[in-house]
Amino acid sequence: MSTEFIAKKKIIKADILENTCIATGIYRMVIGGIGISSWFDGAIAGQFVNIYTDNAARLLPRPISLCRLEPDKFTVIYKAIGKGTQEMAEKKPGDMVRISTPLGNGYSESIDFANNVMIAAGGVGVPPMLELAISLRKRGCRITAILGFADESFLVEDFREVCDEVFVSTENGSEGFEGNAIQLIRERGIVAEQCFACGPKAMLRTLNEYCNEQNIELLVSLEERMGCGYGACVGCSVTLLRKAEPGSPESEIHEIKKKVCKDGPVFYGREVAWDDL
Amino acid sequence: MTCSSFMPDLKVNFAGIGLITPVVTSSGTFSARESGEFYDIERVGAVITKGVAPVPWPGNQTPRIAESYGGMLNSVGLENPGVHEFIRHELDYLKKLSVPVIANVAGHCIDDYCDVVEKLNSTDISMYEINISCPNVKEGGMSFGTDPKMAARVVKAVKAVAVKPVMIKLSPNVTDIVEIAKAAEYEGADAISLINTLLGMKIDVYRKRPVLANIFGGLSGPAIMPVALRMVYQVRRAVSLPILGGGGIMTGEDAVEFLMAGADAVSVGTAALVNPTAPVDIIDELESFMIKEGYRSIEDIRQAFQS
Repeated sequence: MSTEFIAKKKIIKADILENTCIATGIYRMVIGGIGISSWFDGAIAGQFVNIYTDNAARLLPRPISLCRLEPDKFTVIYKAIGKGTQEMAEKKPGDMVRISTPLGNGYSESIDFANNVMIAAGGVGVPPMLELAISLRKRGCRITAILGFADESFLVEDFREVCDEVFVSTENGSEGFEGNAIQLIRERGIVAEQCFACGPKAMLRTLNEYCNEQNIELLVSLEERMGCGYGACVGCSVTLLRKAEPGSPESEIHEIKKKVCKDGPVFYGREVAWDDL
Repeated sequence: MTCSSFMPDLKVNFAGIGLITPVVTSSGTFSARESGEFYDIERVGAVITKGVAPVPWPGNQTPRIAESYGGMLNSVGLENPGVHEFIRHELDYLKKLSVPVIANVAGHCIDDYCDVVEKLNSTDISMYEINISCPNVKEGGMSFGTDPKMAARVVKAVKAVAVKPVMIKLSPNVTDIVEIAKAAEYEGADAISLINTLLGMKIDVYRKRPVLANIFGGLSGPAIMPVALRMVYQVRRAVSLPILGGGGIMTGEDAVEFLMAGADAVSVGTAALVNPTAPVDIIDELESFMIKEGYRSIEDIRQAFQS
């Protein structure tokens, strides 16, 4: 028997400090309380937390990306779309919520960050990129953000505070460019050395094509239906295409399987098997 | 509650393997590195690894996960890196830990099962769990587990090559699970594992299509526990082999139900996806239950049941 086991990850009860509607069906939840500062000390942009519902019949956690990290609290922004997220939307400040400690592989130091970067995000893919924008600003990067929405924007002002340029698109043209974020990028001819993106799969696929054309390095935060959210069930699998190591028996480009929750959600666009997604 | 003067003994002997508790992790819901970030793996009776095939399997398209009332559906389709990588990566990590390892073995045909078993014979694992019940693979898998003759052929072939005990994991998607269990016993299986998931589906009424890319998936979680319990009860009365019982166990008392129905050990699966520390939480709850109710051993619980 091992002497004393020290958990690296944990399910904890935390306090809801704020839970407000910031756009139609979109909510901002600020979570704090005992343990947040210690467990979230090393958390980084691109990671997520599992949020557990109170209803025992709804078994699975809701994985929600971290939008903002502060010393004693963090923010998530989510869309009330199903019964689980609707239950979350009904929570009041002072209520408790069961959450996991930070999960996933975010935008870590292993990435060779460029100086001139762009952030492309769509819908609920916008919030996870805010903490990234803040961390890129701290590095002194020049940041252009392209934020796409269906009809109603949110968080745009927060991005303006930390980005050099912010472009907004709406599908119905109610705000900014009429169309989607990728159409806007093409229309404006926006380029950078590196692009970070989060949004619907179709958007990311089109963006990957654009980045290939323009020779822009792309990193994407992928979304997938998860079971456990910590790497046990292999529900959220993604296929990557890897070049074989010299001398390896593998064919030159071979497929490998990764878990979005554990190995991701951040992946290099050039490695994702987009046809499989 | 009165202060108890004894500590219950949770040890069991399962098909010749000594387990420090009767609680084991179910296949497909446990991964050594990931689960081990949440709890001390050495506290469980044994771990059952994810299904492993002779060669890497890509699994099914995503989405592979859906939630239903009190349950979840998965159509992972036994994605696995193949037995070579399994030995190199997963077993290499597990062998540093003091916990019995039961390897879940998957295949599309009888030769596949035998191939994996032969490659694992020389490793440190304690037992095989032959998966003839996965509802998510098109060839093999469940088709072996729904026909007594096919199940018998798999058991016979695997027993001929295995140097460690062979447990057969049965499918609940059958009319009569007892005849499959009897066929497995007749051909020399060393233990029976009950149950795999129930074939089901879920529809997204707004998108007007199935939630799972595979359309069907295996239902697990507390929603299926009464079915699993009934099957353990039926099989217990028909065969004398050790039974690993599971299906929707969420609490220590759920585990007690399976022991009373006739299981020799219990498996915890979906609960660990809902609460990563569920296997050890259930051990604690089982121990508390035994203290409170005055059971000194797991056998005491099994003997106490009156049907």
